[in-house]
Amino acid sequence: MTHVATLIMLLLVVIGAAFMVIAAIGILRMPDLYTRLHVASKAPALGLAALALALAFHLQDVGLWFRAAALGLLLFVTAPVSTILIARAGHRAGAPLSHAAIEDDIEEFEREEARTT
Amino acid sequence: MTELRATVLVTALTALALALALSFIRVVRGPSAADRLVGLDLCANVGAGLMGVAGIAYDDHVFLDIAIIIIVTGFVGTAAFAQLIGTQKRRFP
Repeated sequence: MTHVATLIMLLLVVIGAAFMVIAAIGILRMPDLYTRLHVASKAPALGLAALALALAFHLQDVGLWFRAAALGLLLFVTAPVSTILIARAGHRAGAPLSHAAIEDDIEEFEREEARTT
Repeated sequence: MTELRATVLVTALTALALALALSFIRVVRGPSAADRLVGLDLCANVGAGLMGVAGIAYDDHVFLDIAIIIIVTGFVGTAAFAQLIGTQKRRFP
């Protein structure tokens, strides 16, 4: 393995770990459930995709490239789904918004849905 | 080069372990059940990332399979718990 390839792999590792740490700090510092969800869905998906890419890049195996691509695809499909599931469940269970929030879109959406059905 | 590689990998593993601990603090403290669920979801993601870095450190491809399994089971668990929180009558803290 050449030095350049090792450097690119290490760069991907650093990017992935940094995104994970940013997500973990954000989930502690954000004021309410919805902003926490915002932090906990996007940054870890990007970080984990970078780490999987780094592993495939390090071992240089065709099957591993496909598995890393499958993990990235899976991640980018499941992360928004689980986020919206938690947001609607939390809203239905009465999780409060922070003081800085200016509008409640889920409320509007549920009212609309209740009217049409 | 090997020293740089070892330093970066150890630092990344430490940072990911720290991230796991921080997201677990949210699971313990979180005011509502949905907050705890967000923390658990992040725990699963950070654990999968830990497996990715461990795969690089140990030169083993099995860790990528472990990461995929963690992601899939984490998603199923999150969906089931969200259903539980959203549909029950009693509001739990």
